[in-house]
Amino acid sequence: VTATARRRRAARKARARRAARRGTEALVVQRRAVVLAPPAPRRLPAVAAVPLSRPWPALGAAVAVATLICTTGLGGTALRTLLGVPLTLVLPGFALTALVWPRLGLAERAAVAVGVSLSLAALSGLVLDRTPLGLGAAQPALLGLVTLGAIAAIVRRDPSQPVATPGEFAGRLGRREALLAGGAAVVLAGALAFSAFSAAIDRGPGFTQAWLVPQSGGRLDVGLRSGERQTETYQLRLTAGGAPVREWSDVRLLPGQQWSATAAVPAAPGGTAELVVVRDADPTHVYRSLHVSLGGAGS
Amino acid sequence: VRVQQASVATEGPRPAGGLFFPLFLVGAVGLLVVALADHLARDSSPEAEPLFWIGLLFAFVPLAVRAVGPATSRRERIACLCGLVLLLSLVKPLAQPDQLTFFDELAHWRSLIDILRTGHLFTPNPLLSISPSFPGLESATAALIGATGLPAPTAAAIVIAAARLVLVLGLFLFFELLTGTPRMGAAAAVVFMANPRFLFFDDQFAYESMALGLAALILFLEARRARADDASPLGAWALIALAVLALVVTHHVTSYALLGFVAAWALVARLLRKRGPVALAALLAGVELLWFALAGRPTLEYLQGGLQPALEQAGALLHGGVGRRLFQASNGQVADVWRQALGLASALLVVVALPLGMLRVWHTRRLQAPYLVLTLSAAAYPLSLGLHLLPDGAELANRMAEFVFVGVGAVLALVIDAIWPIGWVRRRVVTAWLSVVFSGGVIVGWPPQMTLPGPYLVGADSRSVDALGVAAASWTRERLGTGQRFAADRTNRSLLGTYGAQEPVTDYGSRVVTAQLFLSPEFDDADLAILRQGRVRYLLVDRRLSTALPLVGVYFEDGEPPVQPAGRPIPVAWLDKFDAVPGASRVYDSGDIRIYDLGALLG
Repeated sequence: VTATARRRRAARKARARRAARRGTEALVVQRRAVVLAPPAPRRLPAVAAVPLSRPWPALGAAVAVATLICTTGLGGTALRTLLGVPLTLVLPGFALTALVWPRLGLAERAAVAVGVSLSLAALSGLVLDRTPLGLGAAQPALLGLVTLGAIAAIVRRDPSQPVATPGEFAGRLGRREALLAGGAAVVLAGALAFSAFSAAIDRGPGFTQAWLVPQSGGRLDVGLRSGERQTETYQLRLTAGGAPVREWSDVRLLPGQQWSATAAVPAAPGGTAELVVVRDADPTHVYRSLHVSLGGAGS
Repeated sequence: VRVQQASVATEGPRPAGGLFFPLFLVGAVGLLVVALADHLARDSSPEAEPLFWIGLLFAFVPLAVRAVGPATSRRERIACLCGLVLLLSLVKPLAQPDQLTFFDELAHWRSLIDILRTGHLFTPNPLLSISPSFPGLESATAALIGATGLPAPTAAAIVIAAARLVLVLGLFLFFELLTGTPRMGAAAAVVFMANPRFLFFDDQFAYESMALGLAALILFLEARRARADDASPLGAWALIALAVLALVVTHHVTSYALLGFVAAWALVARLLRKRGPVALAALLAGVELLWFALAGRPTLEYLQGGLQPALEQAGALLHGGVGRRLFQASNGQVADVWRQALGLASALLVVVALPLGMLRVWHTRRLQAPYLVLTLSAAAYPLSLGLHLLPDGAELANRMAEFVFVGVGAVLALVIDAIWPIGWVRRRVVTAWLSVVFSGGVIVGWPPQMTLPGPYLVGADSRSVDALGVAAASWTRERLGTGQRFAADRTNRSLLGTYGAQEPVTDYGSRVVTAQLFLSPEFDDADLAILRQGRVRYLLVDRRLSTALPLVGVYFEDGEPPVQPAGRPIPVAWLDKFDAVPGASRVYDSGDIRIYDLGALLG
């Protein structure tokens, strides 16, 4: 019965195509409307309708290319993300599930494909941990090999096995659904973009990082990094045992900018070097104060 | 009739979706409102809170109600569940885009950093010592990073979203097989999503978030394998074994809970003279034992540390001790009245509905072994509510929520199916019930101060992570190198361990009570002994700790010495005392955060 229905459906589609070519589509639609009210909505082209006579070898080739790109790091992050997410989180489980459970429904296959892929990704680390390759770039290579192995087994068993059995999800998106889905995608992308924009706004009072770190050879690493909300000008004074060593005037930093210098300090066991930072905006107030023991804190 | 038959036969595939697409658009708009609420919350606007709840309810309720409705097709239910997973998984990233800020996820991030740095597993983690023994999550994320080159927070979000999809779809398919109807499967999955931990806790980059998905997958695979012969037995077992192995190396408690459930299922099935998952229970037990022997031995100590205080407090409470006040944070802040009312109503609605569901189980499914076990686990829900009365019990109760709600979902799916066969009045009842249970669950399961982003708060985990702390931790990596031994407060310790790749020293990880260094008025010989015992070279002092009591109850870690006089924040003079210690160098100063080099004191 199923085969007969399929033949009839194919014949009907062929008739519709021929009628459309002859410019009699309106007549066909009208006839459908009479017999099969309500009329079927206009459909958008669906990827599922694209015929692929040998889908698994084609998928295998795509997996091989994706593995090569993801393992070698060729291409930018966008291309690697496009290929790497399915290579890691979908395809290994998808191929293994198709090998083991060829007639699983789409929802079942989606859950099992992603779940088994996650399992394989987790276990790939255990396999590679004891090898010189280690984790990281070798993991997608291993996952790609597993996927290719499963695809090879499927091709050997039944090359005509369909890649997916759409079953109850065979309905294609109508124009209305496509518009709504597109609208939702735009709104979600907008929400994410707005959040990223909002989180990036600097709302804090602003701060300046100051440091004074002993280096080898009795030298001190002195530095400032501005996290202020506006340009600031600083005055720095370095002393050792109370005696001035060096001053830096008018160090002007834009927000996010950094300044650093190295200063030699005379050896003074038990003594202390002190750095005082003052802002031009508030010259009477010590903004940052640092001190290091010269007795043995050098790294 | 002929016309109708012809219509069915020749209409071809129906348009996919039904009402899913308009409702998904509504949910997406709800999420946009949540994003707007987050924006306002960052500016401390009072309008943020109502907007957040409105947006959240728009994201959850329409799709949830459609998923459990009586006239929804199976494919639409599945689409609604997938839409719900997507929308609810975006609530946390909207608050903290491209950042890992939760306490647990910072700890797991450290394990991931170590894996990416060394290329190998099992590097000791100073933030969470048990984490390297269960590296499944980090290994999967490292694979994704290796393939894509994405930054860790983005890769982490993708892995967790995938795991949550498996979790919800797996539960739906499992319950669909158990009940025989997609509707009850969807209802069980929706009730599960209303559990207090689903929105935030189970969306974080932590091992449990991934393990729950694997556990749901195993349940479905086992049920599917046992009921259909459309797979090669060996192949089906191979898939199950893969998932079991991955689960066991990912999270201890989830794998133990699954073993307990499957073993109980097998036992009850035997009592009912039916076939049970004996082989799966044996497989799980065998793999658990193997992993415990190989790497999981620290688990016992870790779990004991979490359970023991709650058990002791339960004993004290039963003997007339004083319990914890509900809806009160550790720093004394009491939740708003509406929050208390909604939280209580949520628990009450579940408790009231449970007996009805159990009655339905007895009438219709008392010969189904897994349903009986699920009903038993649902019965633990009222007990878990009692744990909220213990000072350390709320955390344990919340941690039970995911597991208990699998049973609660199974039982309450029967109630939803029974009370809403048709009619808009009953639809409204279910809509209101789901709205209250979901929103009240969020209130019970997550501190209100952490629901939305905002300015810095003392000891408030994600709300304590800000640019100042991240800048200090990043600076240590650049100027001091990695692997330096630090003592710091709870939040800055996590930042030092991740952004700074340093080695924080704690009582938990190193058996050195470094909190004592900060919680004493003077630096004395005892403090010097602590420094030397822990080989602590650097101290990070966050002077903002002196402005408030910590929201989570401790400034540094559990068991820290109390501040005297009690009930007041640390005096700032205690934090500044290191300036006067001979040999101590203040090498970094960003205003509120200072770093001291105490290398000269270590001898």
